[in-house]
Amino acid sequence: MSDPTDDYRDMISRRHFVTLTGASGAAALAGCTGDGGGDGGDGGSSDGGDGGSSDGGDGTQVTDATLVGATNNGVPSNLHVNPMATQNYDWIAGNHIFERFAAYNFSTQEFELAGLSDWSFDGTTVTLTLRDDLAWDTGDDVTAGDVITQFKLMKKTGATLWDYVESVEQGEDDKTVVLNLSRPTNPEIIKHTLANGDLRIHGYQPVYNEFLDKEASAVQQFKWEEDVHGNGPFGLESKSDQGWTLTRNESFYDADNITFSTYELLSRTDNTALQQGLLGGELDVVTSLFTPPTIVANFPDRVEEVQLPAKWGYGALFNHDDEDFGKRKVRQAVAHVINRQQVADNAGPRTKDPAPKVTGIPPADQETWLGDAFDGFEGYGPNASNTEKAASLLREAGYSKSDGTWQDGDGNALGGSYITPAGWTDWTTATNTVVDQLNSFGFDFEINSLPQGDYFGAYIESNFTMGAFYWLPGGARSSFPYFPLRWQMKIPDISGGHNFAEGEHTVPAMDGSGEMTLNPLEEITSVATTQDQAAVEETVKRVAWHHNQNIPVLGLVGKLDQSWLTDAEWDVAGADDPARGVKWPSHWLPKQGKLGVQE
Amino acid sequence: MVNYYVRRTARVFVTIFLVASLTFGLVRLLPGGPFTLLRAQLLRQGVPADEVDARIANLQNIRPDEPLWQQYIDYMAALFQGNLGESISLGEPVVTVLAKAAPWTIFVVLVSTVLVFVIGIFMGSLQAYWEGSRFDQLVTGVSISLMSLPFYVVAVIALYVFAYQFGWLPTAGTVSNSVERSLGVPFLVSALKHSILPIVSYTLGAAGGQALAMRGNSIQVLGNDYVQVARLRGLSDRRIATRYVARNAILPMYTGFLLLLGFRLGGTVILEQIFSYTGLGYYMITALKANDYPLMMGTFLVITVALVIGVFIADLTYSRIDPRISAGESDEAY
Repeated sequence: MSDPTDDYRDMISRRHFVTLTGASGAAALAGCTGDGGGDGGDGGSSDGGDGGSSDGGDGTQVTDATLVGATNNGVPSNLHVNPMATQNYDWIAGNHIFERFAAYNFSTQEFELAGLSDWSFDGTTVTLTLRDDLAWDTGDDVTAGDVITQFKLMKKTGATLWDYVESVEQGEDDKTVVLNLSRPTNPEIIKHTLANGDLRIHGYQPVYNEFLDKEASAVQQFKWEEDVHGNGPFGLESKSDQGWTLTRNESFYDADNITFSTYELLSRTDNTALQQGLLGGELDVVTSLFTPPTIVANFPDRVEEVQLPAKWGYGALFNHDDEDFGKRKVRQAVAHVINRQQVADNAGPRTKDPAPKVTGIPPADQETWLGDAFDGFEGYGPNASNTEKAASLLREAGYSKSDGTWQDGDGNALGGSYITPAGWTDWTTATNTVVDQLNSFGFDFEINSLPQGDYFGAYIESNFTMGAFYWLPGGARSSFPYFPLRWQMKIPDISGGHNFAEGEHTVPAMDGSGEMTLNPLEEITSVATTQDQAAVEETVKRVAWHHNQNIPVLGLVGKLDQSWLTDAEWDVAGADDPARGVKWPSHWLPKQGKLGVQE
Repeated sequence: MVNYYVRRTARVFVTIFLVASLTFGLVRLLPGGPFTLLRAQLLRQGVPADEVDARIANLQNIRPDEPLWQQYIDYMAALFQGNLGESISLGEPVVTVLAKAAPWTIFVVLVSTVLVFVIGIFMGSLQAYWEGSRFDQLVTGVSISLMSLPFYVVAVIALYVFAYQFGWLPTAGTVSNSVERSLGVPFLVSALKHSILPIVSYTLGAAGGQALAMRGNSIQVLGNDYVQVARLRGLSDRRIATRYVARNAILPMYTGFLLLLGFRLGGTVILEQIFSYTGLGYYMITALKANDYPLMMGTFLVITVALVIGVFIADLTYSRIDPRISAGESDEAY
């Protein structure tokens, strides 16, 4: 729990002996709930006039207990909760304070509505209906006007939603928002965009309306630190150098599900501190934390790991403008040489899996999307180094081996600097494995480990030959192949610094006879406006096949995110409960009533 | 004599000027620009490339594209007015950030350094007094062992044992999150608890070193004629120990104390990282990670200025403490 030396015993005793009753007869204990739920402006709820315990009149038992989590985004006194800001927004706190539109459940592979009660898609019109009971912590309803303000500001700041949306307006009532699309758009794309974990309903008009008439920079530099009003399960109580203190929001529509009064997020900036916090019992939950097997083995039984697909992972990136690695056969040779199973085994056997096929679809989704065509895709030996195939490809490309090293016609060794981010420990291991395999085969690579800023800088400026890079954009949207297949060709994260040529490409035909020419970017982009599922699947297969043959990015391993809960003092949803499939359990479960104080 | 003080004072300003210029130059030699990391972060968040450029242009804090000499002149001019600029990563004036952070660092360094000397002088004197005894041998052995153990190793072990394993002391931070930020007993108790581990781990090894130094000084003084004369005069052991030996043995350690104060400020970079103690060192690492030039230079400057001032005070006061040193005739600095 929070600071064991300052408050621990105190808290335990209070937890056991002070149980507050929401509406009924709480008068005797009124005032112990922290602060009457922030603003108490909704204190109209019949509490006998003391105003101290305005727990919403729901009869919910709320224990004066504190769930302790952590933020690793910096020192909270320097952070704020304006999600539109360019810098220093702490999404770990913000995601508790603001409700989301919808969520994607990785267990059921379905969307779940949150702040919305309905969404409907009809040609170029998307209608979003806000929950009737979705309210700000002042007690005022969240209205279409709030969402419209937010969407208009998102237009100013260039949010991706506006790639598809042309205009936004109020629907038939003040709980309905209508998005007018610029063209018919595949509903999956809109759904994934709205269910993106970091997109929250935060456009509180009294605060954000003033930015509508200003430049984008105004809202991007606005630090929302005072007079913060949210609509999520918790409200901002205070923040300091040490952490955030959030209190149960009585106006939250599912406040009945939240059975504890306070949520603390301590500032812990490095992984070791977070791991030790779980080990020693200082932390009850950690949103997301990579933890190697040796440390997991030392965790006590009360610590529960929730593994969720990251749809992200270690891959290798080629500079397509490079005179050697711009050649398809060289890229294929590299793919054949790398033993993906070994990379996964070395970099983290518990949380990493080799990609079954080299293409732009996440490992777990490949068979589903490729169907019968899956077997026809080149495997590039996921668990072996196909050195003979690789050698033959390099010879065909005009290289020869001399003194154990592959060389071009001028005697230049085939290789160069292989860039990798410094400090990403599991990636360092993966890079060592990959470079070792390549050099054993006869490439001549040298590892160049760069600080994060320079690492991305090298890719953005195309100042590289080959290097480690993630091969999927990550998050729920990656499960819809439109996003990752397109992403691999454009990689907006590095401004397309890998220089993959747009336009037509010719690859062997899928049925093995002859060749096929396609414009992969154009084809996959067409999915965005295709509403026929069969056509979408066919296009996905074709583009995935192109990626398998032409290798814009070499996908090597997929990763599982690790999220952490503890059950010594908290009732936590069982391992089979699909609610654990929404990112992140420490955010999602409390408001579902699936993470509460133990009786 | 007046001339001496003027020269010393002038030297302080010249040193600070040179340090400011040097840090400006060195920081600019770091690879990557101040916005490389931010650019990468924004791109990874899915912000379109054009939008990223616009956002970065919107950050008007500094103008890294100006010619270097222009940046230098701007920086030095602002510095002269006590303005260290605005932190790129935190969006706050550097002075504000440092003002929040410095008290914690100064508290830890000051308490720890005083403890180093108090413990060192006390143990060293006893060792000298009982020179060659088992106590002397034991303390010498322990001191050498502690000296050979870097403070950050002690810090990590102490953190693991006393905070994570036993839970006796907090694992991180300066004050508990649940304590109100106003000067009162709960605040002071919490602050003290949070500082115990950093202070202890920063004190142990250094105290061993000072004990050995004090022991050496004391033994040397004990062999002097005036101590023999004092004994012959029949003065009490206590008086000899305090008035004759201790005073003279402590004297050379005085400058060391002031210099060490400054030097140890630099060491907090590691210490504060281990304990997530949000002082100067902590922010220096934050600045380094983000290539936040103004914050980086601000923390560098504070630390170096502290050292320069330490030397300055030592220079000015040493002659007062030790009458044998005639400052007016000597040009030596300490």
